[in-house]
Amino acid sequence: MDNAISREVERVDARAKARGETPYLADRIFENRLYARVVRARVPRGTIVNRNTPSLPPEYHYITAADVPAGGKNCVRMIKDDWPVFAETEIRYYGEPIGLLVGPDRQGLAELLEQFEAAVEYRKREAAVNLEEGLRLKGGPIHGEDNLFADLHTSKGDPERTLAEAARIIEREFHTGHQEHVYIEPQALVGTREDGKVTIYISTQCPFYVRKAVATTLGVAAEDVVIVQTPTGGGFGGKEHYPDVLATAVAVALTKINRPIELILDRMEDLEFTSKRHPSRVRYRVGLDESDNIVALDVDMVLEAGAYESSSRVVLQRGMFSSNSVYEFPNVRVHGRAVATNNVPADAFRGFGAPQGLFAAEMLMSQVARELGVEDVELKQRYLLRQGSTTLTNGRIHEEVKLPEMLNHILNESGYRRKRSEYGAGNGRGIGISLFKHGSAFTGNGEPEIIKARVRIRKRADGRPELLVANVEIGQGVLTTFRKIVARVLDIPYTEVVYSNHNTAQVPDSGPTCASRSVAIVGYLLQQAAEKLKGRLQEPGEFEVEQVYEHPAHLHWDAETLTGDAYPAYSWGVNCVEVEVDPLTYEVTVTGVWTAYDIGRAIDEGVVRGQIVGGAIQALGYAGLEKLQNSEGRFLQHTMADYCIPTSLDFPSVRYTLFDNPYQYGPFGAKGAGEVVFDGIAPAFGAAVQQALDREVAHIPLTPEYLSELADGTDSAFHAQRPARTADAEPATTTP
Amino acid sequence: MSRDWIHPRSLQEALAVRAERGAVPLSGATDLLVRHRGVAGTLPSLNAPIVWIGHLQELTAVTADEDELRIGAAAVYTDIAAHPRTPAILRQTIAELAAPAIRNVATVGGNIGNASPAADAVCTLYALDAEVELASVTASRRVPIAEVITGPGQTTIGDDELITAVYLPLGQDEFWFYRKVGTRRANALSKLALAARGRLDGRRLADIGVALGAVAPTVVRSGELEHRMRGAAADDIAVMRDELIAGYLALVNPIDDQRSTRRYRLRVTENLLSELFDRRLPFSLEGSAEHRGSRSPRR
Ligand SMILES: Cc1cc2nc3c(=O)[nH]c(=O)nc-3n(C[C@H](O)[C@H](O)[C@H](O)COP(=O)(O)OP(=O)(O)OC[C@H]3O[C@@H](n4cnc5c(N)ncnc54)[C@H](O)[C@@H]3O)c2cc1C
Repeated sequence: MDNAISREVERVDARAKARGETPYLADRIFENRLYARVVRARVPRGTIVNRNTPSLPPEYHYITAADVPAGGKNCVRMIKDDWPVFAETEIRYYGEPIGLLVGPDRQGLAELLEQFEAAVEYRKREAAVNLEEGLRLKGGPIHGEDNLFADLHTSKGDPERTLAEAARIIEREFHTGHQEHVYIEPQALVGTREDGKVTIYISTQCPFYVRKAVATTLGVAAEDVVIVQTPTGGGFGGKEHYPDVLATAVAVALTKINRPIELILDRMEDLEFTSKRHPSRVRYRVGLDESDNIVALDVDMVLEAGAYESSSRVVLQRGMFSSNSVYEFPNVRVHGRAVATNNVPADAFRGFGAPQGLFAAEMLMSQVARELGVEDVELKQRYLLRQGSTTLTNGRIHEEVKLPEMLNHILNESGYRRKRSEYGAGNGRGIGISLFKHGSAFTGNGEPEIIKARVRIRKRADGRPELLVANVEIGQGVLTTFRKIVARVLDIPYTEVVYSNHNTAQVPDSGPTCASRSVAIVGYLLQQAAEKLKGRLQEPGEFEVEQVYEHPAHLHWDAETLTGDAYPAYSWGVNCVEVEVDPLTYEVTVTGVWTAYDIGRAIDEGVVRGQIVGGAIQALGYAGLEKLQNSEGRFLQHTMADYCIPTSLDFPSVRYTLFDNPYQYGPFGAKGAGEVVFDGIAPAFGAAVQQALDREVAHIPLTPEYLSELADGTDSAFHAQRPARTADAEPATTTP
Repeated sequence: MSRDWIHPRSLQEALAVRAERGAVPLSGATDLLVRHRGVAGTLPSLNAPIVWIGHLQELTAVTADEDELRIGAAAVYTDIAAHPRTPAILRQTIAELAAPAIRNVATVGGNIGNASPAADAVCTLYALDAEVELASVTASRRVPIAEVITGPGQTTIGDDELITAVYLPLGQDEFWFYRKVGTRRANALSKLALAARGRLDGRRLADIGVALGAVAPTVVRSGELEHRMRGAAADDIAVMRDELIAGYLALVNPIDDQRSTRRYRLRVTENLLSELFDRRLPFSLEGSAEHRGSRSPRR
């Protein structure tokens, strides 16, 4: 197989999007439509004592839990059924939906909303609004007896004994914060009835998730609900499950109101009340022998899940399985917990637990190196996973691991070793390196047991192949890459391939658009299906070929004990970030970002570049800028002015190099690329700041406020220096 | 809910509407309509009539004579920055204020009228000894900017008055130092800011103005501390710098908020003042103009 498929082509959606012609939901007008607003609780925790429901003007409707049809269920079905569509009496977070106002005029709705929300009387309860308060059961448990949505263990070797016998133990603790997705298009949907069926037009990553949730709430068969994905302005995980929350509410309203209902969140509402990335606390105990070899790792990871479980159990698993990064230690024990708090539920966000685990693991390694007095790259190199290595879940690394090559490349390209010694410690400049991996596809038995993806390709009467899959374009390029895969098998131009149907009644369930699985899993199914179509395009009439997911036979997973191959394959990365910290203001200037990835093979280098650059900038925002601070159950930052995501002036351009390493079960050798590009930036940034300040970094975001506290202290070399440099740092350029 | 939008044809008409109906002036709208915005499809939640003033020619001009720059209250930042006589420190302030699209519509009149402690132009205008011209149908007055702004959102602008212009003395300053610390690199609101400018007379400080933004309810400027600096030589400043810094820190009173912390604001204010006194007063430079205007090196 050559890598001609990697050659960049024009994205099929690029022109219309650049010209502003793509019709997003807010651009469409459904005849006779009504608008909806979510009525939200105004306490972070408590019970509703009296709703004092005001009276409604004509043509307005108020929908609550009481309207959920008999046979249905007042829950948003994700993994558990604990998240209600509408709170009945118990309130678990500020902004929790308690009803839906529907009416013809948005001005009228805004006024009613204020009245309805203000009228409700609550008995307030003490809220637990961060991870520590959740663990302490502040205000009493929110969930069960112990506030834990998940309490998981996995281990390898004999961690008890090796830790007990270790010559030395090094301990560290790391924290990461909330992060908001800030997709450009806020959450949006229009619900209506077509041919008697509840039909939802929606901005989503996962049409079949929405269908499952709506069918459960209404108590109808899944086939009686139709979901149509509309052009989706970004997701990043924020449109993986959260759309279910809004779709179920509108679906309940549709049982009472026979008109199209539009629910589009305002940006501030979206910022404040939709799901976020899980904050984390990771504690390590590292066991070393007499010769300073790491012999055991003890990991205690806690994720803050917020008010309801959503995907927290699975996010936690990915976090746990990332908590040793790319290193093979003989003995490892990981304890993971997802703790309930009175915050908006945390859910999927690009990386899905891995960024938290990898930040902690990579910072740990760099701090262990500091403590042992060795260069962190040298320490890391000693333990790199290789083909055949045993993972912490006792699975195998099946593929060739190109990390040594990638690391060398980055070391040379960035001038790491020279800069590392030249900058010294605490002089305001630093450079950091991270190594990491990201498992493509669902964790454990997700693909064979839960998703069981299925794709079809229709040979149309006009001779063109049409893709029938559930995966959707969310800005990541799948409209182009899927076409390219099939076109290449059939040896036709990619523009000949039709891929425009995003209706659950008409496409098979190939699973959600998440988990770096679309190209790696579904793309491969399409490649296999296309093989069946090969040579048949000239046949008359219309027919379909189908391909169902088959789990590679060499993979094993035990979901009870969390042992085996947690992922079919991994994408690998090495990142290097260089910084200067302003000694007056502690603002960090990133002066270079170098990245190397093994994603198997790029299906389209342009699309992959988009992922790499976007992922790096989003992760730099996570690492250095984006802060959500809780005050009495509400985030202080709920405008775009105060929740600051990077602009193009904040960070330099990102260099990247791809290492071709075709994967047997990926389309033309491709593995996932959507998340690995996010995972490694924060720890590289952290390590660089650590050198610049000569201080250990324990949490992100590394805001100037936090840096100023780190830099304080009489022994700080950093504070002694004053700026002498005059030249602005040269911005790096992108070199493929 | 105001559905009452008045579009006057002249300043006189605007002043009349303001006096008669208590109409709220609207210039670039980048503060007022942001503050009162509702969700999509709704009107701003403002209960007074609104009078547009951003289009009034009497208010949009930037003009200069020998020793004074007159900036119309409704002149947009882009135009102010483009005027050849605009002081470099103000041009730098504008370059770091908001983003190009905002600078094309937003005005200094709005920055003053909004009276946010974090208003960037206001901070620099304090340092530049700006005077504000206020007019009503019957009268016009000119007052130092510090007498216009009294607290967050609080001004001494009369119910019947409009800001018509801002005046800056010209041609005096030889050095300046400006540093805005924002929440990010562009399109960011200030966590704090320092604007300083002045003039040397031989080897002594002939004049200096130091303004600190976003660290107190209003911009902090101290006549007393500046008086002590006037006439000082490099050695004197080196001796006084601790007291000067302590003097300024006694005047500021920053808060913890969604953008930063009191602790950080104090620490960085102290750092920036140290930088100013230790390095940015160009005693040692022999008049090379390009070395006399500066901001911190790396941004
Ligand atoms: C995205 C964004 C970024 C921003 N970034 C910055 C920044 O970096 N720094 C900064 O300082 N500000 C920033 N702002 C705030 C704002 O742009 C500035 O304060 C601007 O100067 C306001 O001018 P305006 O003409 O838009 O004011 P308007 O919104 O029209 O008016 C503001 C207030 O002043 C009153 N007013 C206006 N003109 C007059 C007058 N002639 N007489 C009496 N009262 C008057 C109005 O009634 C109102 O109360 C930002 C705003 C946005 C939306």
